[in-house]
Amino acid sequence: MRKILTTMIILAGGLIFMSFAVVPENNSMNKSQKANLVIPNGVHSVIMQHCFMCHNMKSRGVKSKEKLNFDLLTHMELPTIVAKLQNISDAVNNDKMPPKKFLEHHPEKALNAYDKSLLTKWAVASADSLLRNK
Amino acid sequence: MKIRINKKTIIKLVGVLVALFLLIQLIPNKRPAVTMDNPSDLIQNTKMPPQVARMIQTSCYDCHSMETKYPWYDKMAPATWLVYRDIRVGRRKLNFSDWTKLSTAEKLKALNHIGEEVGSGDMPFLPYAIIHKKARLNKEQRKIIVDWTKQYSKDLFYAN
Repeated sequence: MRKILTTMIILAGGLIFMSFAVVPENNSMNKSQKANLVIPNGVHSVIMQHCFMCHNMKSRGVKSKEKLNFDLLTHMELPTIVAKLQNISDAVNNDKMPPKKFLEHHPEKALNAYDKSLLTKWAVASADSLLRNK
Repeated sequence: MKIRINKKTIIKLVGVLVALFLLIQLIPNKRPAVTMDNPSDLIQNTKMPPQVARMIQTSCYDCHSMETKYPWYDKMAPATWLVYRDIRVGRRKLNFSDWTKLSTAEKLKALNHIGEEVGSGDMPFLPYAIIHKKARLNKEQRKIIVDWTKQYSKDLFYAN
């Protein structure tokens, strides 16, 4: 009985110590609170079909996932998310994404006018919303 | 067929090269304009550490602002083609002289891009850094610029 009690006291002490030692990430101004970024189904589908292949955690292209990684997007700091959203809008608007070389081998990944409009409008509106509702 | 290389051939070859060099000087190539009075300029309108301002001015402003300091070789083709092209492309991508004309989202995008490019060592552009010793940035200087982009991004985002 005494042994069990001693073990429980040690465990409780350990838990109390850890709660002081570990500072939650969102307590710091350096880290963002998790972004409230809503991706509607239509936009999600466009991203999955046309962008996700290169811009995800498991992608083989180091540069492409360094520039934009959809798996990490909502975990970034809020100013960085706005920067990435603006980048998506500019890259799609200026026909830089998907890259022309990539489209030579995957013509089915080209964005049509409707998809482009959907993606850019979402990116701009989301960036705007994050800037207004911080 | 054998080509005999003698003194005459070398003189002819040099003559052709000189003629070609003179001829390409006649190809028109408009020099990108320089303006020193830029009311929308980044450094003029932003409270930034003087050290960062100095580094950005020395390492970036030749291609990314209207305050380009042209090198001595800029009037000679083919160097002139490369220099003018780099300046045109650089200004189109990011022009610090137009900083205050950008929206907050565009500024955040630019700062994020500066952080990535300088942090990875992709900027200043290698051929430029080879020729311009003063523009080179060491690891410590790169970190200072990257830290500044992060801090300034937060300041911009949380302002107002």
